[in-house]
Amino acid sequence: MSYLGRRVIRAAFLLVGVSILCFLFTEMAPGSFFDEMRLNPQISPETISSLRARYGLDQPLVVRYGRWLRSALHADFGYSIAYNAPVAPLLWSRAKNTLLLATTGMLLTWLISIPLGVWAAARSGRMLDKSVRVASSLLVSIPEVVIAVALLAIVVRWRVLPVGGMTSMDNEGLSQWARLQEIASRMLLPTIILTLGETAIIVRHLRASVLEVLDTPFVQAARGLGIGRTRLLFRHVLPVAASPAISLLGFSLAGLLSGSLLVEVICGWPGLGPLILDATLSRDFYLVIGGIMLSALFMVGGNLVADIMLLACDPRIRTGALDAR
Amino acid sequence: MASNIPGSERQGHPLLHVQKLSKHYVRGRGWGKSVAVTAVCDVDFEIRSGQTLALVGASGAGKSTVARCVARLERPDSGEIWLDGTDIARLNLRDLLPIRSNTQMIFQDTETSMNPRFSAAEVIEEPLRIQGASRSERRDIATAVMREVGLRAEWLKRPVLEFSGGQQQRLAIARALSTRPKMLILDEALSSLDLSTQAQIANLLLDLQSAHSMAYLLISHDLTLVARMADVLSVMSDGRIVEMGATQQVIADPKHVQTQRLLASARAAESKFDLASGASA
Amino acid sequence: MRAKTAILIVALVGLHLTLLLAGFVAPCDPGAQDRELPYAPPTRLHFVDASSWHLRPFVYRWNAGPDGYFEDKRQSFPVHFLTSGPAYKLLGIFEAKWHLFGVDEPARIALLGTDGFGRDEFSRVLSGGQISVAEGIAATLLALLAGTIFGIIAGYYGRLTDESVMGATELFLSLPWLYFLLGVRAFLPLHLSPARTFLLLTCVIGLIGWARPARLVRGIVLSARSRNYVLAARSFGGSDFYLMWRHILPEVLGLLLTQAALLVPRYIAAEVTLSFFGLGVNEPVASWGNMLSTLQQYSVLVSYAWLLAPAVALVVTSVIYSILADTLHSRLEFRST
Repeated sequence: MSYLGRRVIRAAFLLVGVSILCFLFTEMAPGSFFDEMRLNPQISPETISSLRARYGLDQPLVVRYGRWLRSALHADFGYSIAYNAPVAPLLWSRAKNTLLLATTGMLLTWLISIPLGVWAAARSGRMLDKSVRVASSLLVSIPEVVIAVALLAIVVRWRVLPVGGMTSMDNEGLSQWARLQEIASRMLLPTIILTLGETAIIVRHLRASVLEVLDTPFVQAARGLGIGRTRLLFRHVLPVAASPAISLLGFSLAGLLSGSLLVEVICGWPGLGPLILDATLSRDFYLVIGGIMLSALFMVGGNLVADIMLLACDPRIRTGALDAR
Repeated sequence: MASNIPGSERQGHPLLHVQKLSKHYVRGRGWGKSVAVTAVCDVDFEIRSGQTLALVGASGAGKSTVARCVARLERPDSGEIWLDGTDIARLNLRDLLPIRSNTQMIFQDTETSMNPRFSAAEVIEEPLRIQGASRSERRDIATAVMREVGLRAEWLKRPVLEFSGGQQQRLAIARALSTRPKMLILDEALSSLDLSTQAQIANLLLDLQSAHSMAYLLISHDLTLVARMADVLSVMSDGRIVEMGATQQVIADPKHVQTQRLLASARAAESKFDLASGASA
Repeated sequence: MRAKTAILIVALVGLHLTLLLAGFVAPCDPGAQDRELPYAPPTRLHFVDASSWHLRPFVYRWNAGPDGYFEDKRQSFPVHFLTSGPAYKLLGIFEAKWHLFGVDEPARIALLGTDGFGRDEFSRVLSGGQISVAEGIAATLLALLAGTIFGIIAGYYGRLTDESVMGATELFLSLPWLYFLLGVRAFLPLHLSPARTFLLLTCVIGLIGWARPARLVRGIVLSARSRNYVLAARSFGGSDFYLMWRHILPEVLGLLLTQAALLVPRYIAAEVTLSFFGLGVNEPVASWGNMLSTLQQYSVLVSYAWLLAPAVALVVTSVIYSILADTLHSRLEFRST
């Protein structure tokens, strides 16, 4: 079975496992959306039980899971009780915004980290390297929540950037270009917060990885052959050092998705984050499950992409040289 | 065969009797294509107390597997292993525990066979600890045994890594002696030592053997050592014993082609040692 | 011992001691509201007054005025040290009344200002810190315990057990952490007593976090299991439990310490995040998280900067633990080679 094939099957199993986990949790949940309603004397018990029946909440767990699985395969993720609308479209409209934020953050992170990590390693021990190390160590120790709140405070205090939502009130009347500008300016703060945190992590790993490669015999040999420094770094060292970094992509993606939830809520960016949070607070279970499954899907998809990239970059995987079992 | 071994006067009753020992390994990769590799097939031999039997052969001949089966690190697939009147081949682990103190093994790579975080005392006392001896018992035995192997009792508290290679080998022997075993299995135990240390340790082992009437099962590829220490020489090839007899006789008159090959390559390698008399230069 | 290590130890001990003795160090009752004094800026300490220079600092009362608060210089209140004040429970058990410092009524000494209900921010940061840091430590212990048990079992017994445990860790690791946390939290009761909430949060955060320690422990166990001295011990008749306890577990301890130093700040941050969203510790119990959640209103965020104090405290704690983790990592990693 090919490497990729195995990975895809693994991914599928993972998703199924996640869905089962989610459903098991719903069974444990003592409260439900209808608890508040029950307390309301104006709503009769019959209404509540008919509502429950409508949403299929009175069936045993296995039945519910079976029905959910079947509809999930048809891209129907159930019904949101709070929004009174199907879950899937709700999720998708928000998911687009989260994807936008996360991918931009990812691209920016790697665009900054790669040169920074490589140069820091190349100039190991000198000014640049030291400052990079201190800065990244500091940033890594500060929790995401604090970075977000602090930057938000600065931005709001000095009115540097607009915050809140994706567009302003007079969105309709603006030209295409102006609208894009608006979205971009509102996206700046959340993206910066995301990038800061993630860059600190990636730069450290990349730097360590490049340092390791710089020590290997083949690099010494290349140096001896007189290959120029820049060429050496980017055409010879980086591809090798990239492999362990690419395997980081998976974890990086997880971190970014988690981080984006936080950032979206704090900055008011209309992504999956605020949606899931509200669903959690109002105990809108199908929406929560849908959100978790979607994020799991992104994760698994991202990991698969990382695996493909790894396959392309690291010939050792193709030849099975690493399969020392 | 055992009765006309020279020096059998100082040897006692048969301690270890291995009959038709067989073991095979299964080598497979994940989802199928398992291949059964026969490591040992139909091996028979006997060792008396106070006697040394050497197993020699090329790599992969099965010598270590036999040793591991006798030490019950592995379970033989078929055959019997009679140790002092009990067949240990198929005993379960719990019944095996009290019998374990009768056999001890000394490994090739001594350094890695001892936990580097342990002190000499902890290393030596480990078999006793597993057997359930009290702290004072363990301490007394450890002290006595340290002296027997020629190390100073004050060094018991030192961490293992502070001992030299030869001293570590002595520690390993001390550990083996702690349960007063009736048999020692020496699996290439001297291979990683330099020649002079090897000679010292070999002497120590011989002294201990006559002092305690222990039986030795010696696995080695070094024919000089074998000529020196072993009473019986057993040649293995492809999992079977192809030739067995009194050491000097086999060396002087090898009958099987494998034995001849082994001797030939040993002679080609050696220059200073006199094989026939077993003395070292 | 090097200076850097000494500073680290002092910082660590100082931090935890202060939090442990929060009731003593804080001058006020963290829950005591003062509706006359909402959002008051930090009390200023003065050493010089009209007449002369004093060794003992003193404070003035804040009075509410049309342009905000101003100091009422008519009366000065000296700061007393080791004075008696509002009662509290030391370590949650002993009734006590002594405080490190305080001022006489009717003045208030609010070193970090007050919040919207007039509660002393400094006292709340300390008592909130107790909750948040205790939460982080408890969750870390749980995660490490679960991770170690599963890691040892997986690494030692291998094959099917190993595959299933590793599959489970991959499951847990493949989810974005915060989504998972929210999801699990979603399915559990929202409003519980503070003690129950604490327990709940510990379990949720800790049990999600077992996966990475389990993988790391498994790796160590796998390599330790095939060591020759383990084989030797087995040849002496050592049982599985003996081998695990005597030979394998000590290898794991070094890793566990480093992991603990890494996880504690992360789990403190997890509690802060959850409480920030209203899913963790709720009012009136203070935690750094719910103290920060008032900052979600931009007006509060912008005007009352002293309310960011919990964030600063969180950063200080995280940095100290981060340095600890680095130190442990370099000290302990060399031993294993």
